[in-house]
Amino acid sequence: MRISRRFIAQEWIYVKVPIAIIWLAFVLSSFFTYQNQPFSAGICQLFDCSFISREIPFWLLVVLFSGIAILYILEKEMLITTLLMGIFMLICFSLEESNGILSRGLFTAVFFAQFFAYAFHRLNWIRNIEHYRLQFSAQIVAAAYFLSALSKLSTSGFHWPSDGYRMAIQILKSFNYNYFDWGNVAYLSRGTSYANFILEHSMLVTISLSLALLLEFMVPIALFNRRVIFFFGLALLIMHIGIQLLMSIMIWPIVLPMILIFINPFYLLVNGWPAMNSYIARQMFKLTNR
Amino acid sequence: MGWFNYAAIKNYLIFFGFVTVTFLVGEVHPFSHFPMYNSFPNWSYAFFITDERNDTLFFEHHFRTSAGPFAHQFYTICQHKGFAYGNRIETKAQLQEVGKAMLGLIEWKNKPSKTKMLRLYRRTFMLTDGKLNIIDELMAEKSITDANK
Repeated sequence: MRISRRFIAQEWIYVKVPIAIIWLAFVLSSFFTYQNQPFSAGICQLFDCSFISREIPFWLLVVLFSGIAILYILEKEMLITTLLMGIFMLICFSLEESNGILSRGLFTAVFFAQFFAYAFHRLNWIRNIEHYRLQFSAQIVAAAYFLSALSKLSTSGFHWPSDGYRMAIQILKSFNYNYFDWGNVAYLSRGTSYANFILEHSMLVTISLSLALLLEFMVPIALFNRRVIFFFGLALLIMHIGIQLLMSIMIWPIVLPMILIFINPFYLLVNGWPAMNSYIARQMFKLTNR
Repeated sequence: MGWFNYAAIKNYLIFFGFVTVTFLVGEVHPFSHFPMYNSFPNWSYAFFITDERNDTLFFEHHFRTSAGPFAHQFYTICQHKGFAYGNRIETKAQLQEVGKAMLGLIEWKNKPSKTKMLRLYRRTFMLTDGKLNIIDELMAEKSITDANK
């Protein structure tokens, strides 16, 4: 299986179904959890977002949001559907933030990017909607990593990688979080040994962080070509796995859209597995018939 | 046609739009600078809750939140009250006020039957002379009947 230079129609189903399920789970759990907004933030400063969870029966929300998710999967009225999904995601993230929980995520912007793709298509500014609904989404992911790199440089300057030995403190904190969540003392000893490893190998940390910063800064280059997007996706995934193993931190609202749009693992699994199977079978046939 | 053609503009239109609006509006969802770990300060906090015997009540077993989001509430409350925070610069009175607010937000998932009181502690991690130090401080206490309200 070869990865095309552009996003193709067959890829879309393996992105839209997981995204619709994640959207549905997220909006329902947010409206179920938060009935108030003690620290109004974002769009919830303009109106009381929590009235949705307080005033509308939960079963009605389940029906309404399931309907929107089904419309999205069936690709019906995509201008309105993507706009509604973006707006409700915006309300939910702002509602979470209004309860003191700050989880910056990309899904809201991804839905708005898809809305723009469909709007431009309606206006005949773009013809290949199969490519651009995913390419516009990829632009949001690339922008997030690029902004993250700029934020590191503007806050810490080029010292950011060499300050990395102080990551030991964050590692210790993260593993303490895990301990306070579950009560497993193994987290505490693991946190201490990882933190000491960082302090003892500061050069390795500096090199790794320099590479990570360079990678984040260069992600926009990927936007020219879907194949390059895929390889950047793999590199970013390796970076995130490294952060998870060492620091026990995975920022899912950012990592999930990146994996789904840049790598598209379900598409690879469905289409790549038969291709790999037939390749192995051909090689075995060649070997056995020599 | 050079590389800077119409397709190239479309390939970066949303990217530049998102970056530009982020610089204009700042940290307003969905726009963000994604500042997570953009610096490595010489301090960090974690928060934990115990009962009156100082036995830790683990979040996933007892409460409808987890340690990470619970810690975020400390910073949100400090910002709302206009308290400067970090590196243990908060006064005892400020810590107590923020601690009471944090305990006020906590919701039970599974309440131990014999627990009479909740105690909120802050754990500070610091790096001094290349060595890691941990300091625990009591922030606030609340009787279990109050916490149930």
